[in-house]
Amino acid sequence: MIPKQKPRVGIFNLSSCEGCIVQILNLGEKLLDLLKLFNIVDCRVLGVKEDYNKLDIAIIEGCVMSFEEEVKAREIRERSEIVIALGDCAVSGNINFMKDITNKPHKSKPLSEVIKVDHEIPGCPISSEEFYRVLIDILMGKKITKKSITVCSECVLRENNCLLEKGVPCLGPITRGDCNAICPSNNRPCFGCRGLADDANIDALIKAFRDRNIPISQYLIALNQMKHKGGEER
Amino acid sequence: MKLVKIEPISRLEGEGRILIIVDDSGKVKDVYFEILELKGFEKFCIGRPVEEMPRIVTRICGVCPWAHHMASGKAVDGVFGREPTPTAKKIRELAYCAHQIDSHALHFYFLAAPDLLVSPNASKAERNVIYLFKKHPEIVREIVKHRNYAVKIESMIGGKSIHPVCCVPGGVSKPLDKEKVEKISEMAKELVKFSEKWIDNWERNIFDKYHDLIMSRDKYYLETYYMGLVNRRDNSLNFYDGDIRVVDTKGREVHRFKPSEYLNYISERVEPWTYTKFPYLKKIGWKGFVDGQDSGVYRVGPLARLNVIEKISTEKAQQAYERYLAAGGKPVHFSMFAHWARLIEMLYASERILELTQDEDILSDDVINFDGEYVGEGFGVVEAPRGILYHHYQADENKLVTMANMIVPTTQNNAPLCIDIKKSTINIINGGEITEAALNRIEMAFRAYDPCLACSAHSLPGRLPIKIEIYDANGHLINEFRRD
Repeated sequence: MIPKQKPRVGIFNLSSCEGCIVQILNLGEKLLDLLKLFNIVDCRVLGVKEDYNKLDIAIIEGCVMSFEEEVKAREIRERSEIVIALGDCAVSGNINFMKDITNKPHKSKPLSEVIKVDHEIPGCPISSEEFYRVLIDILMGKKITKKSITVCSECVLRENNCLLEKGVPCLGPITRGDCNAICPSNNRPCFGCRGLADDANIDALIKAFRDRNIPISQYLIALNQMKHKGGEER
Repeated sequence: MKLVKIEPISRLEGEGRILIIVDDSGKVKDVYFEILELKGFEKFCIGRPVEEMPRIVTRICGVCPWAHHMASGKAVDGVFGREPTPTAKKIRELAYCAHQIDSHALHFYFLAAPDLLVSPNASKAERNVIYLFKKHPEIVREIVKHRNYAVKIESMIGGKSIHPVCCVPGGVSKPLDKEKVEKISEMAKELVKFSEKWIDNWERNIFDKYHDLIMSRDKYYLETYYMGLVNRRDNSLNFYDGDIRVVDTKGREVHRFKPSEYLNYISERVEPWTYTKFPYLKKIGWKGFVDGQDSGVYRVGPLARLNVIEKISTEKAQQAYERYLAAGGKPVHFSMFAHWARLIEMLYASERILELTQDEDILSDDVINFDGEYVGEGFGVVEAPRGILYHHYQADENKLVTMANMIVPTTQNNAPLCIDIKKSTINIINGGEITEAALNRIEMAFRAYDPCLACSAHSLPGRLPIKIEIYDANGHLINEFRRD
């Protein structure tokens, strides 16, 4: 059902490279269609800052790196009906988390560690199509689901030559897909930017690497131990 | 004495802020622009497989990931001792030209256009793309459509337009096919037309309308040295490859060097009040935050590029370049000319893409050179949208990174930016109140440089969130001003 009023949307960013917000702009003409359906009331990138109290949808890019950002995230949560974590930094901490992987406690926190997140859009950067789809689904009141397909399965569907068979350390088999296997399709191994797939079997991948004499990185071992969600672990 | 702080929000590597120091009578004494640096990233790279660097460093910045990808790719070619094949070089240059269009378009149309088309005196609510879309949907639709041509070209070659994956040691990961090249060619033709139209719009309307502002010498004007890449053969414009050329305040060549020699020509000044370094020309020397022939302060970016080159190799862009020089002289010292320079560069990039699609080499399958002896050290230099970018790596026998050094454009523009903001600030708020309008004027000094604050904490695209705190001599907060 389409609501009577245009939903009010705010787009915010914490610690990130801003690539995911640029991905929203990269929607191009589809973004202009979204502007007809949604009322963007707060978005620094588009230079919009209206007066408002409540938001229907808050989209937050980036991970929480400081106390100020934690406060900001809580403020946004309080005034918003739905909060979407946009991109890997918000979902898992991504490169910020990799940087302080050895710090205890970690300085970087994924958004879900600080506030309740209603939906996560993974990827480094996000896929603009997925973003579009999620917003339309919210508008239509549909239940949002993440596809459980792996990068590996999508790669097979695209009939690519397998990099793993060539002895290249590809993380496709354990990584959440829905990215159309961009990297392996361009002859580059997947490095897991969309986080772990629902049924990721890391033990099996480590065995597959061993069988092919592929060196096992410390991150993969750490990942297996922590089963920490997401991140560009390699 | 009062301390006025203008603080933009934090970024990947930290934050940026402006410190304005005002004396008791309200006169501006000093202005500092501070950005935290990329050192975190350089450390973070150590111990990682060097061939993966081009895919890691893109994460420095989501607005100009291609610049880091290309500079890194070239540095890694050097580490592996592999000269890319001619086809690989052309594919890289083609994608990189598309990126210049993408990034310049993002800056010019999304950021500058609302100001220039709506009016800089309009209220805050009216100076943004969404408002512009309500008022002139057809203009915005056309802009968005054409920018997305560049984005599509990037994705075709890099897999993704943001954080591309194509550069590998000695070439690119995948050849181009005929169907793609034809599509690219069609889009390039449209981009040429579109860029010409906007240059025309600039020359006929915008430049006239803002003539006094653009051509004023008491603000947005610095006489400095300029640094940029030039084509080795004929000193023409080249974003991807060439010699590094430095011209003085009169436009005379003073240095010309290869990427591997950069440390002989660039030194970095450390100031006690900031973590940021201030690169300057080693042979001229650091004379403080001043411009002029005796000061080693230099500028990079679109303005600098069009000052160091002698010509543009494509026909239409060359004509536009001649008209640009006729208006601004050579070298052009007016900071606001950078907007005009961006439009000319977009035209050149569009024409160059078209040229490359017609090159027979572009369809060859020979895209990686596997020969070459592992060197363990490499230098990669490209013209990022915001200016010249240096990547320098060393790696051990296991091909793991032992040292990474990156000098980003915004850091190089740091000293001139401080000087320009100081000059502008003295003129704009001297003794007077700090108003919304005054802040806009200060922001305009920023925008001309398009400082990338994610590549040192990105402030763009969009309005700069500004926080000003005014302290009295005892450090008590007496006033606060905030604009998000």
